[in-house]
Amino acid sequence: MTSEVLPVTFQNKAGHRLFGMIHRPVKPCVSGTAIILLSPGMKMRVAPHRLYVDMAERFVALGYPVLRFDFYGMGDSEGEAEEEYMADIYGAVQVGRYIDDTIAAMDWMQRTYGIRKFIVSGLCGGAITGLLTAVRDQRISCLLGLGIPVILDGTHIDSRKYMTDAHLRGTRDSYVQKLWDLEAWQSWVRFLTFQSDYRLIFRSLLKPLLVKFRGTNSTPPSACHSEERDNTNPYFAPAFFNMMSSSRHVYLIFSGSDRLLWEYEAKFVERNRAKLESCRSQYEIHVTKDANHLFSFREWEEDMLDQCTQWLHRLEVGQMGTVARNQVEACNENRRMTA
Amino acid sequence: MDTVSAITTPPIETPLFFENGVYRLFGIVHQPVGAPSGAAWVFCHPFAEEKLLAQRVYVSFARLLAARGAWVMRFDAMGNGDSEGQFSAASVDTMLSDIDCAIHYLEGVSGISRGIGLLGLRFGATLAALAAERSPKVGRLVLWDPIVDGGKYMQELLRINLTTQSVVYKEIRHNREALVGMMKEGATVNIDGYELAYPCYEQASAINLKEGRKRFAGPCLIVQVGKDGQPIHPDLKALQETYPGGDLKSAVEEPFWKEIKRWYRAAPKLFDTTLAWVAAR
Repeated sequence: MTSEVLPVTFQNKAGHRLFGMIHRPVKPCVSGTAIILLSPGMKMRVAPHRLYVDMAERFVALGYPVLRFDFYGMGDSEGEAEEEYMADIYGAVQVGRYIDDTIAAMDWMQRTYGIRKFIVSGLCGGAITGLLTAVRDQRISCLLGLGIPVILDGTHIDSRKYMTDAHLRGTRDSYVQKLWDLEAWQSWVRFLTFQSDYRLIFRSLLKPLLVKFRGTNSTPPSACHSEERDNTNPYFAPAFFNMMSSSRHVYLIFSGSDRLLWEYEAKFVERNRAKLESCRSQYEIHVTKDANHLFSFREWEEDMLDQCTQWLHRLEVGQMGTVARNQVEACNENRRMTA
Repeated sequence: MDTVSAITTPPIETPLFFENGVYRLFGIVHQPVGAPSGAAWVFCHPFAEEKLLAQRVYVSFARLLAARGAWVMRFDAMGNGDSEGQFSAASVDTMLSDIDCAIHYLEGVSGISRGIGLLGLRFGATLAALAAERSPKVGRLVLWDPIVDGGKYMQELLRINLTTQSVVYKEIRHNREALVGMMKEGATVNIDGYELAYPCYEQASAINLKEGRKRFAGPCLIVQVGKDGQPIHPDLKALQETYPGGDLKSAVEEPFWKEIKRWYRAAPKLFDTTLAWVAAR
């Protein structure tokens, strides 16, 4: 047995009781760091297809205590998320709704186990929550983000207007494929009974034609570069560079077939290329080929878990190096004092 | 949503592990708020990702029942949620054994040994119906939109795999027959990230709740969850006829066990229908 798993509860700032699960290693790692897995959207502390259970088992085997818990109003936790639509919940998460709950989790870990250093991790909404919390709390040393969103969702935002070219291409391919797929008869039913998203269908199908006739991209260049006029999360880039400026590490893993990767590239990397070059040693990116947003096929999940493991190993070795260097320096200092 | 908001006294909810043979199951026991009514319920969760999507509705309804003095036990079957084991190792047999175990555990903490209610949604309702056939401790049954034809349901799940193949590889590399063949040879088939193995597929495919008169003679509520004005599905009518004490009702709700646009933290019409039925018995 490499760990013990215990159900736990703790209170957040508002007094809501949050439910979680702690995985404690039999042999903790040297760095004394814990990993907190932050829930993705509504899919609570186990995450889609129990992804967080698998992640926790992998990480605890490396010696990291792992806490995964439900934010207020989600999973088993107390409180309520009052929104009517999922898009509005996603939007609230993307601007930091659960920062306080994440801080409460770290406070509880510190009180209960004396841990003062954390790697925050999560899929999608969990990843952005971790990034935004890192701005507020320096106990977070690293972010391990899966499919981190750089955009804002909400019922008031028409995401179709801001789709990247890669996303439109993917959507178009999917529609074209359905034309010949006999198993996709339900899509035809939806189309013929006026339940389909016709604006999206026409936009994805007609965009290449518009580009062809106009000889250029139909979107004015100014719109592409104006953050106010698109759905980019204004908190993302400042939070990312805050972590960079405070010498903290970021590891981002994306799925190859996920629109979030295309959005990350078009709406963050493209706009911040020069700035990103200057902090290249502090962040790493990995793309799991072909994978969907949830890493649902076993080979995708295994690739992601292997990458996480290798990164954590590099990190631990690096931190052991720092610990060793600090010990040598302290030793030298003692010698000087004695002399 | 008003019924949920109306709960003001914080319920006492205890997360815990309990054992079923060699593995531990995770559950949450909701204690009655105020004077106990003598009622006790075990909730049987739906299959795979549907479990996750319906989670908050289950939590809200458990809190409502607890606020009316009932004991409620929500639990994760082996290989699901926070319970131990792999999803691929689960079958209808293991899931029924887990329900028996949860009933036994609730009996121990509540002191209520007879007339325990089982509530389930979709395939969880199917399992609840099967469990009621073999446990004399079950006194009430609530089936929310039950899967009546297990074979048809398994085919729907295989369809999910085909869709994913089609999106990822732009072609179907393994058709239905090939997927079943692979499972027979010991491989698993990925359904939205869940690895379905042949024992589960085979046992679930063999389920047809319409067949035969039920042994369970207690009160049973079957609720069709659907659109306004939607006619009652013939399968549900046929299922009702197999129960000596079967009631069939409908509740207008969206399919909250699927990825939908609306956030379903509660299902008010479904809750009202169920609570009214419970109160009348």
